[in-house]
Amino acid sequence: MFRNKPPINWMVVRIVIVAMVFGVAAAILIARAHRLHVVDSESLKKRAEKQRTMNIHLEARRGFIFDRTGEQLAASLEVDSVYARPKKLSDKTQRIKIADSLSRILDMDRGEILTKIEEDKPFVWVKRRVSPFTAEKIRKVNLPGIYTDPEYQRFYPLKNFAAHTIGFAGIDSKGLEGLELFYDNLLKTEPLPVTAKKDNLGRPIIFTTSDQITKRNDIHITLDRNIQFIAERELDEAVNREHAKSGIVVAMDADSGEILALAVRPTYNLNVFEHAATSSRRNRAVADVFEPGSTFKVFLAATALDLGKVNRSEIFFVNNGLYRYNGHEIHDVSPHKNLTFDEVLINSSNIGAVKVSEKLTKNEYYHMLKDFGFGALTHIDLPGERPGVLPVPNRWSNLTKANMAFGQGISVNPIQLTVGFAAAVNGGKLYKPRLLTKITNASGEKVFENPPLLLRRTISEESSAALVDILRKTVTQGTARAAAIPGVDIIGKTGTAQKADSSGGYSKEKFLMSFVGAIISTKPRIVILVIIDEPAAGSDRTGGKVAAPVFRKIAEGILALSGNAPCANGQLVNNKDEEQTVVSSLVHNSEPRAGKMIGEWIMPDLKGSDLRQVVDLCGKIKCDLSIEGVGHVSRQIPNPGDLIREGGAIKVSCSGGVY
Amino acid sequence: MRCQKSWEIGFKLGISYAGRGWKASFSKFEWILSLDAVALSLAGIALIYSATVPLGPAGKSFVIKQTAWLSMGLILLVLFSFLDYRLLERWGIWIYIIILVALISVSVFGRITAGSRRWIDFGLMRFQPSEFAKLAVVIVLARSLSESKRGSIDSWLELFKHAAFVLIPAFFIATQPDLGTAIVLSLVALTMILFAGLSKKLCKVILGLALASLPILYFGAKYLLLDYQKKRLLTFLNPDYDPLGAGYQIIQSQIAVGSGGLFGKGFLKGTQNQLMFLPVKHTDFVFAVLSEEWGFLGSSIVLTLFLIFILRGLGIAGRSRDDFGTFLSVGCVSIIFWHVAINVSMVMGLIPVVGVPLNFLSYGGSSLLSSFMCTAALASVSSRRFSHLS
Repeated sequence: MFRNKPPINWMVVRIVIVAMVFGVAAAILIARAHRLHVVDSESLKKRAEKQRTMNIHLEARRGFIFDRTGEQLAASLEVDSVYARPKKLSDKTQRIKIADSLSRILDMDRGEILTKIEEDKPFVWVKRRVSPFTAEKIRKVNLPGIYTDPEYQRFYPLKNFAAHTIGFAGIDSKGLEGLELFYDNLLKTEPLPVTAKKDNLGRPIIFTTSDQITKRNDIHITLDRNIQFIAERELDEAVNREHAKSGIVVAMDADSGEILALAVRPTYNLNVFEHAATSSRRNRAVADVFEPGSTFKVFLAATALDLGKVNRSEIFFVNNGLYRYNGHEIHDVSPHKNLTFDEVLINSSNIGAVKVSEKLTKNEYYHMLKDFGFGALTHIDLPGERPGVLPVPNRWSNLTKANMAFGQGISVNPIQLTVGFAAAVNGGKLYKPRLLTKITNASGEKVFENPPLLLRRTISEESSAALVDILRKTVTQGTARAAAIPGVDIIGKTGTAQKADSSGGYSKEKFLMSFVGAIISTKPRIVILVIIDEPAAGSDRTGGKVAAPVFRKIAEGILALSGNAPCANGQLVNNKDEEQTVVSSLVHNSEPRAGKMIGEWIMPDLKGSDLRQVVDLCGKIKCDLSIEGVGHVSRQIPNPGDLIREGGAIKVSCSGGVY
Repeated sequence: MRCQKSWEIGFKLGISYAGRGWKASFSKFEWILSLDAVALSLAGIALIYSATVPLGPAGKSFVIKQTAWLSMGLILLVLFSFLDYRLLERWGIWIYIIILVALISVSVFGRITAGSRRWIDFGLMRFQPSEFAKLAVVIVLARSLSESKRGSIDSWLELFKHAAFVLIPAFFIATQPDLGTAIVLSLVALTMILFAGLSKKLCKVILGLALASLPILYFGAKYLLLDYQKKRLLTFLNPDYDPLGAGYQIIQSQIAVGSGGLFGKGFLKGTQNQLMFLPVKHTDFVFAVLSEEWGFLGSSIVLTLFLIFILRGLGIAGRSRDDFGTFLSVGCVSIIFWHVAINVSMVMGLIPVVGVPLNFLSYGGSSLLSSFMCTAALASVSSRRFSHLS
C-alpha cells in the first residue's frame, strides 16, 4: 500500500492511519454510549424499573377478630399457594412434563395446568391454598418455574359459633358477611405497593414486613364467648324441640348497649360458608322484621307511665274478654272483668292495652315509640339491618293505635326490640347497640376505642323503676312465670304473635313466640331477647311456654358462669373488673415437629396452651379439632409424642376458664 | 552480537539500562501509560467491588484477589519496563512455544468452567494461557514482520508464514471454545499484517476471496457454529425475541447502560447490578456496571482513558528505535484496542455477545496480568526510544 516511501515516513503515516481508525472506533463507542445514556435513557430506565419491581401477590394478613375474653373468632393462617412463572418455561416438552407431575401432586386436570402455564404472563396461580403436605411435595420435586408462596387463609376456629355476627371473608380476603363485611376496610390489610423490588431470580429483595405488622388491625368485639355458648346451646335445643323455622337470641348489656351474645338459627359453618344456604346465612337478628305482639305492651306501659296518663292502681274494665272497638273485635286469652294497670301487663290483656292506649294521643304514643328507636335503624355495626315500619300518625287508621298497643301494625327487628327494652328498664337511657369495643394493631397496642354511646333519654327513672316492678310481677305471678329463677331478680314480658299470612290477615297456625326480659340483679343488667319463629306445635303454644323457658335457661347459665349462687339481691361481678386467673403462664412450645413421612407430624405437648395456640397448630397440620370446655388445655388426644397424620383428629379438653 | 549467547546479551542489556542511574530511569519511565493503566485498574477494582456486593461475603474475595493481581501487575510493569524489549525478539519464539504447549494441554486436561476448557489449575491460582497467547503471538509476529523485507508483504508464502503464527494458537483457543479470544487474536494479527502492508496484488486476491467466501461463511455459521454461538448471533439480531434466554444479556446490559443516564445512579446504587439482572457483571459486563452507576460521564471518562492509552501507545510505536519495537507496540496497542472495542460494543448492544474481558477493568488475573505485560512492553519500547542516538 505504502511502497516506495521513505522509511521514517511510512511508519508514521501508518501509525497515524491506525490512530485515526482507532479514534473513529472510540468516537463510535462514545456516540453509542451517548445514545443509550442520554437519548434512550428514559425508556431504558422505565424498562429497568419495570423488571425490578413486581406486583407482589403476597396478600397481607387480615386482621383478627377477638371476643371480649380474647378468644379468636376469626383468624388468618398461613397456607401455601402454588404459582408458576410461565415466562421462564419456554420449552414445550418441559411444560408438558411439569404439567404431568403437577397434575399428579395437585390432583388437577393436566390440560388445565397446561393452559395456565402456557399463558404469556410473568405470574399465574396454579392452585391456591394447598395443604402443607402438598406444598412440601411441590417444593421437593423442585420443578422449574413452579413456586410456592405463603398466603393467608381465613379460619374460623369455632366454626358455626356466632356465625352470623362474625360473618366470613372470601378467598381474596374480602369480607362478605357479618363483621367481616361491616369492618372489611379495617380488617383488610392492603397489599404492599410496588416497594417490593425483585432480583433476577424473581425473589423479592425488599420486604416491608415491619410496616405490615403495624398496619394490621385486629378488632375486639363485645360478644362474650361463654354467654354466646350458652345462648347457642339453648337456642339450638329449643328450635329442635319445637321444630321451629328459625330462632334468635340476643343478649345485651342493658347499661352500655354491648351485645354479649347473638345467636341465630338456622346457622352454618363459617369455614365452608360456600356450602351454606342463603336462608342459613341470613342474619335474622337485624335483617328480619316482624310484628312483636305482646312484648310491645311494655312500650305502651312505659309511655302511659311516663306521661302520667295512668297510675298503677287504676282499674281498667276489660269487658270479660271481648271488646268491640271501632267495629273490630278484640279478644283476651284469659277473660277478666276488671284489671289494675299492673295487671294489664301481668296478664297480658289485649283489651286492657287498648284501654290504656285510649288515654294516649296518637302523637304522644308515636313520639315515644320513636324515642325508643322503632322505625329507624339502630345502626348496630352489622350489615343488612332493616328498620321495620313505624307508620306516621297521619297515616294511622282508627285501629292502628289500638293494634300497636298489643304489638300489631308495626314491625321491628330483634335488635330494636332489645335496645328499646333495655332503655325502658335501665332508667330510660337509650344506648346505641354495638359490637366493636376496640381496635388493636398487630403488636396489641390499642389504636381505637369504641365507648358506649348514650343516644338519648327516653322515660324517667321513676317510670322505668315502676315498669321494672310491673315486669318483675309478670315473671313472679303473670304470664312469664316460666322465666322465673328462684332468688334471682328477673323481669320480662312474653309475646305470642300471630304471623301475617299472604291473604292479608293473620295466620291461625303460624306464630312467633318471643320473650324479652332482663336479669336485674347482675351488674351490668343483662337484657335477653328470645324469639322462636313458627314452632310446629302450633296454636296451643305461647311465648310463655316456648320462649320464656329458653330465657330462664340462658339466664341460669349466665348466673352460673359468674360462680355466684343466685340470690335475691346478690350482685354479680362483671368479668371486666376482675383479673383473670391464668392456669399456666409458662410458654409452651406447641410447634409440631414433622414426622418421618411427609404429612406425618409428632404431636406436641399442648398442656397449658391456650386455644389460640391449639388453633394455630391445627391450621398447620390441617387436623380436625374438637374442643371441650373453656380455658387452657388440660388433656389432649393424641398424647404428646404420638404421630398424627395430616387431617387426623385432635381432641383437647380445657379447664380453668373463667368468666 | 549474534555469536554471543542469548542470556549474556539479555543480562548485559538489562544491566546497561539499570546502570544509568535512577534519575535517568525515573525520567524515562513511561509515566503516562503506566498511570493510565493503574487508574483503569483501580476503577476496575471499585466496579468489581460494586458488582460483587450482592453476592454477600463471598463477593469480597473477588476484590481481594483482583487487588493482589494488580500488585503483581505493577511489579511486572516496573521490572519489564526496566528490561530491554529486545530480549523478547530473541526469546519470543520460546515464549510462543511454551504458550502453545500450554494451550494444547489446556484442551487436553484443562479445567472446565462454564462449558469450556480455558484454565490450567496450579492449585493456588488458575492460569488462562489464551490471555497470554495474544502477547506471545504479537511478539513472534512483530519479529517475523520486522525481519521481512522492509515495505509490504508481497508473496503468498510470506503471508502464510506470518499467518501460521496466528492460526495455530487461534485454532486451539477457538476449540476450547473461546471464540471471543480467538477473534481478538485474529484481529490483532490482522491489524499487524495490514500495518506491515500488503502488495496490491495480494490485496485484490484477498478481497475477491473474502467476497466469494461470504456464502461459505453463512453455511459454515449455520452448520459449524455451536448452538450457543448460533443463539447469540440470532438473538443479537432481535434481542426481544427471547428476552429471558439468549437475548437476556443484551437486553439487560443495554437497560443497565441506558438507565444510568447522564451521571449514573451512584456507586453501589445500580439496580440492574445490585439486583443481579446483569450477567457476569464483574467480568465481561463490568462496563455495564460502570455505565449504570456512573452514567455517561463515567463511561466517557473510562473510554477517554483507553483512548489516551491507545494514542500514547501508537506514539511510542512511532518513536521506536527499530521496526520490532514498532510492530511490538502496534501489536500491544491493538490487543487493548480490540478488547475494548469488542467488549464495549457488546455491552452497548452493537455486536453479538462474545465473551471478551475488558482490559484492566474486568475481574480476572490472567487478563489483568497480560494487560500489564502489554503496558510493560510499551513502556520498555518507550524508554529506549532514543538510546540509539546516545
